[in-house]
Amino acid sequence: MAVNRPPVNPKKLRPYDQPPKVRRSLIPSGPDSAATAFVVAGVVWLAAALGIGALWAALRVVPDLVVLSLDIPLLVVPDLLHVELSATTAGLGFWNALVFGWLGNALIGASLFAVTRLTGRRLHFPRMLFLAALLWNMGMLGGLAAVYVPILTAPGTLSAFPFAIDGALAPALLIVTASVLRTVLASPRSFPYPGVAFTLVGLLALLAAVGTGAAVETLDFFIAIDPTLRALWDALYVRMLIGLGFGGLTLGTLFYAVPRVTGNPLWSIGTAWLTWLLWAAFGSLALLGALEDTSIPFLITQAGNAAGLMLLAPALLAAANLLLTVSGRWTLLLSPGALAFGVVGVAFVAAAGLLGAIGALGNVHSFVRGTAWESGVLLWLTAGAGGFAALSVADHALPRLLHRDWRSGLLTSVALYGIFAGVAWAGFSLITGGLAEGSLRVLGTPADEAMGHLVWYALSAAAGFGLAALGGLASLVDLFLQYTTARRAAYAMPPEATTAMEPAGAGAAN
Amino acid sequence: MTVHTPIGSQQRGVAGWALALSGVVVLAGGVYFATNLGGTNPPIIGEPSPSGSGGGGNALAIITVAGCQGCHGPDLTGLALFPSLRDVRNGPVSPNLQQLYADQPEDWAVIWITGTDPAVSDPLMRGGMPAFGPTLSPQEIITVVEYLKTLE
Repeated sequence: MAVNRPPVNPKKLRPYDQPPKVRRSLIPSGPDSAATAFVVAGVVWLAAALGIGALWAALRVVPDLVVLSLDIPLLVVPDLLHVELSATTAGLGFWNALVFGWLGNALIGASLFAVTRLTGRRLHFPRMLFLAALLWNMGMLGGLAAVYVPILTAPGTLSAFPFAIDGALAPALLIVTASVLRTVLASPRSFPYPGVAFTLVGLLALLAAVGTGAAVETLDFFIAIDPTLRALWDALYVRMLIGLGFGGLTLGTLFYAVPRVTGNPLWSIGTAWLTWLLWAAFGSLALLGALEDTSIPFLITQAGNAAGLMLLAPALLAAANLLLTVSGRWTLLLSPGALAFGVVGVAFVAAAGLLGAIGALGNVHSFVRGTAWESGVLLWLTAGAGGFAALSVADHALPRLLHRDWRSGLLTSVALYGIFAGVAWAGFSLITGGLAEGSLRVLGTPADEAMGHLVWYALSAAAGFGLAALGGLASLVDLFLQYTTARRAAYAMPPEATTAMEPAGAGAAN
Repeated sequence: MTVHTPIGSQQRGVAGWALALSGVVVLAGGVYFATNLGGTNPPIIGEPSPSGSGGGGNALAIITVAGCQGCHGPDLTGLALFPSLRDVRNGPVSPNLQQLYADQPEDWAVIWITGTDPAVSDPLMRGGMPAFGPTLSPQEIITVVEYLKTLE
């Protein structure tokens, strides 16, 4: 039978290599667009945070030095805006860029990537999630600028952001938590994977900490809160933020990354649930340990300290379970990549858990209180455990998110060994420096003489931070080269939230 | 392989060693809690610097910042070889301080903590007790001694 074909004008044909023009939305709503935004922003913040960290560590050697002191005259406000770059402001910049910038972005991005693949559903509210990424990072930029203006900062290292910044971070977290919660509840699986449970508790704790923090900041701005009450809240806030919030996201990320990149099933799901139960119970109770004031009964603080000691159990259980999961795939550790990052993260979880338990003991606590020990343990917990968990998922997820065919190479090695050696060394120097500071305090050494001893520890920490900053820079260059030079590749996508789960077609497994 | 391969598990139950490890750590935490119920929290703000001059400040804060609890225990009841500070009002318990107590029954504790008087500055006599004269002001040392005399 003859077919009537319309006459073809070759001049009107679109060239085969030119894709049809598609009107793109200003706010992307692709299945992984929010995760991509968070993870990419996280890598940028990693390089920035470690760079500021190197500056902070260098300034600790000469703590009284003020590098920059600038008064900016404002037309609308008669007072002068005083900008200062010193060890104090650089320290605030470092910790906030590290915790909110790097860990916040990377662990939230990793959680979005993992949750969608574990539940088999695309995340709800994709546009809102992308807006949350924008809001989080705009807030972070504002917050980082604010910490160099002493008049704008609030007391406390991680609670230094003014209320307007916390007011931007809290809605971003609310959107992320609502989306993840809705996606998990809509999942056909009746019982979530333990990694998802860690992530959920982590997100809820972060939301509670940052949301309440914004409310406290606002109240303090309009009606001055009692300084003791404010100091107690700040101590509680930091413990909730790091221990429960980022702690949950770190463990959730590791429980996804290690089995996924090894291709092995988790060693024991029952042990993972026991770990979650102990961590959630003791982590919540350990918050009481932060309430250390004459107005709080000693019994309550001690209950929190005992729970802090008991947190060693979930840290060791998680580390053992994940290392047993690697069993049979140890050769993967010989090359730098997602598994190497993940295993380093697991080692830091165990080390930080052990140091946290030791630090919770009364005698040790009073010995190291207010010394560099606290900074060293915090560094191992954040840049070590959390940072390497995020790097593990970033290494695994970025080629899939950016649709690039990319294998780990020299830059990945520089990032892995640079950040690992740098963070381990800097943390060790801070911890031993803190012990030395405590000893000098007990011996009653005068401040000037003590500074002469402690300067060597500060120099050693600065060298570690410098090495870590080099690794952070390598991560950023690696990401840039991956996006600009690697060829495009197709990876399987999760199905729409409303459609039934179906196998993906061609493409690499995620 | 699909994009959302669920992560399986090699074992469904809880490993025996995991339960044992959890039990040991929880027991250690419980024992620590039960044996450390006495004491007071230091103030969260207003801690005076040990090197600061003038102003007695809060005795507990000075004790915490000076690190007294590091040797004498969190509740100052003594630790290993280091004596309790809870009976200072009845005089020293250490034999090497009896002569000082006999000579200076009112000020012996201030002189001992200050540690700059030649009579008490011999390192062998001090047995590891630091001299706080260079780091605490006289008023701060008096505040601490007055506080210690109230303890039982």
